[in-house]
Amino acid sequence: MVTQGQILVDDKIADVRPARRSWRHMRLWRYPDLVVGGVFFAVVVLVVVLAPLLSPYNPATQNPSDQFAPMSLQHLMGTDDFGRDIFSRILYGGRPILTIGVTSIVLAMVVGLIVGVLGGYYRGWIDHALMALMDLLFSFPFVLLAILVVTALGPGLVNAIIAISVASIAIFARLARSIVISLRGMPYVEAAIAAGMGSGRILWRHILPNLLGPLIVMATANLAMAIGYASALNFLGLGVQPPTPDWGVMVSDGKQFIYSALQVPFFPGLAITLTVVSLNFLGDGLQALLDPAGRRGTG
Amino acid sequence: MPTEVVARLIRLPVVLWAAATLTFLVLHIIPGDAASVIAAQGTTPQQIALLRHQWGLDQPLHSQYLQFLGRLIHGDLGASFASGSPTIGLLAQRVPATVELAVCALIISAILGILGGVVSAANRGRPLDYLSRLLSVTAFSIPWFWLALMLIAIFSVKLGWLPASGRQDLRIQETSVTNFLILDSIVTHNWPAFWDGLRHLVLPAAALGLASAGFVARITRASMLDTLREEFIKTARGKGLRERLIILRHALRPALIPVITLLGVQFGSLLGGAVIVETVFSWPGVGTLLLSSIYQRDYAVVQAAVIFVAGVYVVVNTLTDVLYAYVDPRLRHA
Repeated sequence: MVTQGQILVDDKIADVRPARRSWRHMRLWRYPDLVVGGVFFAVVVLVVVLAPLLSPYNPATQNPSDQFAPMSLQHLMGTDDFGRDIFSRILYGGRPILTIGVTSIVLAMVVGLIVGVLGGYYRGWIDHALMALMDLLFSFPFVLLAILVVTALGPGLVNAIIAISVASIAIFARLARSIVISLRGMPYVEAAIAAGMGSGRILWRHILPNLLGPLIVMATANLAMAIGYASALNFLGLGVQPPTPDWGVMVSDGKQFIYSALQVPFFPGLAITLTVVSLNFLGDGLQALLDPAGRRGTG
Repeated sequence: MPTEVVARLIRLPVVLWAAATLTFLVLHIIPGDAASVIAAQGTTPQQIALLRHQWGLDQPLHSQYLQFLGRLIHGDLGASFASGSPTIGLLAQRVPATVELAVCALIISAILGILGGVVSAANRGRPLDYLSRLLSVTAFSIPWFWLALMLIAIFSVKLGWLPASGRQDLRIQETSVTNFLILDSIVTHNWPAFWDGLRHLVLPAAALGLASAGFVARITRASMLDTLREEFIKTARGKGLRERLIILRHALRPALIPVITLLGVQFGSLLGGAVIVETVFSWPGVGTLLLSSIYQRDYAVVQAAVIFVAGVYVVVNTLTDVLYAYVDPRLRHA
């Protein structure tokens, strides 16, 4: 008895579903980018999350008599213009940027996924309307769109999240849409439609699992970009505000001291660089693993 | 002309209009009033109301929008809240500086990027490849503003070779013809001004260009590797040609096709990056204009600057697509 989701093939009842990849045979050591980037980024996240435990000083404690102390055992990275320990501020300083980055990418991914799937699956006027909207977002350079949104909404962490999220939606939408369109033409999907499978089930069982790989790769690459731009917004004073310890804000505060105390702007910028580099390596590794067809495009 | 290209060109005004409209809408949802925000302390409510009326902010949104569109068609982007001068004039003053910076950065990124990508692809799998790839990923991972600061720290502060800010030394006499200082100095044979302008241009252009170079290197490498897998390369090897000749004369040209389009797109994103880099170097371009008007809440200038940059971005992208359609013979008869 043929039920929904099955078809008759040579008198045998077969399940209409693509072969599932076995996750156990992934041989992670074949992907050095993935391992190095992944481990490094995990360390960064861990350190930032565990900042209260690891931090030798309170990042806000000022000590005006101890301004610009050189690097020493007491102050691993020296102190800044208020006598605050730089190392402690570095540990706490990753939090706003990581929060902004991760939240905005998750939001952009969810919204972009919905937009892309709706447009790619149902086509027609929905597709035209949604893609016109995405093209509109694409007509601005990323930085400009983010700055525009933040200007309208005002500075702050939440608004920075909204700004970067809005600027990133179109990338995910376009990717999701192109994958959905190509999947929709696949024989097993057409077979499922012919067998009477409902749209919802088709989307859930056939389309979505195939979106996962490229989306994860894109999310990682865009997370790197989002963290970079979040730090830029904070540097410009359009995101998180001083005295909140944040890597971008710290570079901005420190830029007047490149002549006298280079350590103040140097370390936070280094932290941003290392985080973004590790994420980019992670993304490269993930692409090699999950999406060798390179459907994520030129990024 | 291929229909695809014609379609893109026809769509161009529509996209420009849409971008301008979006900018207008976003900036007009600001709660609170631009007038009361800008007005200095001690202004009376009557004076604030007068300002509001002067800037047309007391009218309903749709009539403000229609006025905005009307002015836009005539090339008028409004007047600054702070100074009252036309924003078009302010932009015109600043644009050459930004364009000079962006073009220079693009040249740097093209040269370094293509070089790096070709070296990487030619030495695939060997240490030089890994080094090159590490460098290029690091290059586009470094935050622009930090790279700018570090370049200043090294070349300006420590070594004293290059100036840390501005476009030119105040002591240099320069007659400004177009405000493209480098071009002007060549045209007027003002060599001290030429070298001075170049010295000021190096660090900001490098800060912008290095990051972009990393990205260009990546794409060039991928494109070269793809091209090297093609049949005609096998033929060349079968003929016994030396590897270097194959790479430089046979593979490079077709491999560069996607890179050219990338450079066109990169110019657009360099405009965005210029906004950040300009602040670090106090470079008198559109970026510093945009940011200072944001800090001063001069939303008229913000709106004008955003529309302008977005407009340039759209035009450059469209031209790049058109160029691509012509350069790649396979697409010419699409």
